[in-house]
Amino acid sequence: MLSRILFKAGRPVSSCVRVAARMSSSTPSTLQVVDKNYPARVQDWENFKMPGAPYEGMGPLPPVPDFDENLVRHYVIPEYWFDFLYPRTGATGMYTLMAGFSAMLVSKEFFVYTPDAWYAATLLLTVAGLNKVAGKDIRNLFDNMRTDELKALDQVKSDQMEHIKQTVDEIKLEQWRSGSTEMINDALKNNLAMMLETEYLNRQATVVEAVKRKLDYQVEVQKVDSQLAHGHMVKWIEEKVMNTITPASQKTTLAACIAQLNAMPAK
Amino acid sequence: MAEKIAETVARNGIALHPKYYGAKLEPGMKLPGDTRLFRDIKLCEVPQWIMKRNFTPLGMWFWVKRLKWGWQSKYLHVRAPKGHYYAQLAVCASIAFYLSEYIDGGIKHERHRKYH
Repeated sequence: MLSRILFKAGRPVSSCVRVAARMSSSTPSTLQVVDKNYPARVQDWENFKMPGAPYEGMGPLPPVPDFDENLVRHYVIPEYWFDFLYPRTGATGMYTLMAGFSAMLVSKEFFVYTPDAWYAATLLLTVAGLNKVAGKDIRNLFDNMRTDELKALDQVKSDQMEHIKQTVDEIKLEQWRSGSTEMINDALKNNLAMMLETEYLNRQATVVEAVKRKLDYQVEVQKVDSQLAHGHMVKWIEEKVMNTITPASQKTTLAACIAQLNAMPAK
Repeated sequence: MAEKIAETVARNGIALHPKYYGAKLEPGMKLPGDTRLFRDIKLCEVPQWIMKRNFTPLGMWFWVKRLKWGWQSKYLHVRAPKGHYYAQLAVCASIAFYLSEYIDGGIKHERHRKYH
């Protein structure tokens, strides 16, 4: 963590590369809770109890108050003096009082006019001029010297928050991506199931066909067997019959048939 | 002022932070008799108030310390200090130096006129 603080004197830390490279989404609710409970600066310091304090009252000191520039006028005269004289003398009361007072000092020579007085006056005028010209820049310089370190420390926390947010975004993206492959995987699975079923049916048909062919062959064989037997039987019978047929028998048979024929018309 | 001190004492856990210096009441502490702010005291009561103050050396030291801490807490030990502290310091130092010169130095001899 400390290696992230690339702190060089006078220059604020900014890891702009990582921060600017990616627009992060809004803080997720879990991180909002963390951000709220561990703020960069404790606001409610009056009710803050140091966790695990060995004695009552231990803890961080209250934060120093903000400086109110309206407390003094011209850097040296408190505003309270002006407000004190306002009811009686108005807004210019204090100025009149100061003018009269300095007139009294000079006239009674409590304040002696020496070369030192002249130097003091020129110094005052020079400093006022410098303040007018370069005052804002010098004040900003000192304020930046004060706040650079605080900004760097805040930057550490904000950088870590950004990093965490980016990690969360990446995880969500990966989840989304894997979600879509889920659909593709489902489609492939369905395809595969269909293919498997088709294959199964094909193979079933093949098996059925093979078995049927075998059975048909047996049937054909039986048929052929019976045909051969029948033919053979017919031939044998014919042969036998032919063998029994002699010319003498033919004649007798013929005479018998003619006799039958002669007998029929009588009916 | 007493109410404020009591209020701060009721809030436990006040450390000796410059902002609350002297706000913690411990047993054996001696508060001044009159604890109003100086601006709340009428002019006729001022001598009475002065007599009640602590004029021992330690008391004077504490007065100096209170002055210093109050002034610095207001203008220096703040979140974003500017040049007011240093300007006031310069003015006060100049005035103090001039007074020292006038009272005990040679500036009275540099007066232009003898009778004013």
